[in-house]
Amino acid sequence: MLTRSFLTGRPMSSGIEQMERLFDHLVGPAVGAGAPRFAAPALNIAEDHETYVVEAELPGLTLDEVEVFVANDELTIRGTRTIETPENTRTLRRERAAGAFERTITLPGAVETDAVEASLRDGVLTVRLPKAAALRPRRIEIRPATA
Amino acid sequence: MSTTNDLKTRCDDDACGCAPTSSRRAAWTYRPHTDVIDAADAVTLSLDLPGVDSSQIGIDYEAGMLSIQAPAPARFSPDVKMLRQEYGVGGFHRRFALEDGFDVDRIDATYRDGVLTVVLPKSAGAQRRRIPVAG
Repeated sequence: MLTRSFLTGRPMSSGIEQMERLFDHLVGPAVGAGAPRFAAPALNIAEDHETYVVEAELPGLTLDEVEVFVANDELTIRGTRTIETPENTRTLRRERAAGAFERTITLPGAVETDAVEASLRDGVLTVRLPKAAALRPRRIEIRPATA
Repeated sequence: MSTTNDLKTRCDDDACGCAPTSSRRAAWTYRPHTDVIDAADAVTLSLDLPGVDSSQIGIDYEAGMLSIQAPAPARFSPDVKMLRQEYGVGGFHRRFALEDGFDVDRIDATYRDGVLTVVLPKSAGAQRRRIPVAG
């Protein structure tokens, strides 16, 4: 088995890009070194009053291939995507990124580390981080003025 | 557009990267990253389609053109405040020109963990064969 984890580099020379047909057996494999990598996955981060939500698109990854760590206000997402190329095949095009990735971000504020939840569904990782109690808005009771 | 090879498949680039109509780029259409693997009996396309409902994936073949599209619903409520947005979420669309030699009635597709796998069986006459040399 050949995995893509070890492949790096840029796509091949532009001379081959002119070939546009899917079923042309006359041109040899041209994309061998072109596997993109995602060393640091792109993130979308949102917040509401109670929670930070961090999302990453990690298509092809299963639960056991992703790890999520949280400490204080730091979140780390790491994992490895392995794309296996079956034997006796030729790679005509390789655009999907593979390899190990890791990214650590600092959240704008502290979170309740015990209450952090992560889910992975259809290639989308979603981490929900409840804000630390001190950061959550609290309704302050207004007492009637005493005369 | 992508700097990756357009070897042997032709993507309809005009169908991608449509103008955004919202700041969250939900109206963009994205061109999914695709691997194309050629085996003796079939060509397999693997497309990264994260966040898609498999029942919403459309795969159409007409006149030599294989068209794959899927909407990707917004995942953040409009009420939240975006702190960082490093990628857009929108539908996916990509087209591939197929030459003759595929058995298009037997095209098979599966969606798992955000990856769509489309198997294009080669018709019998088009399969690679090793010709034995007598002697």
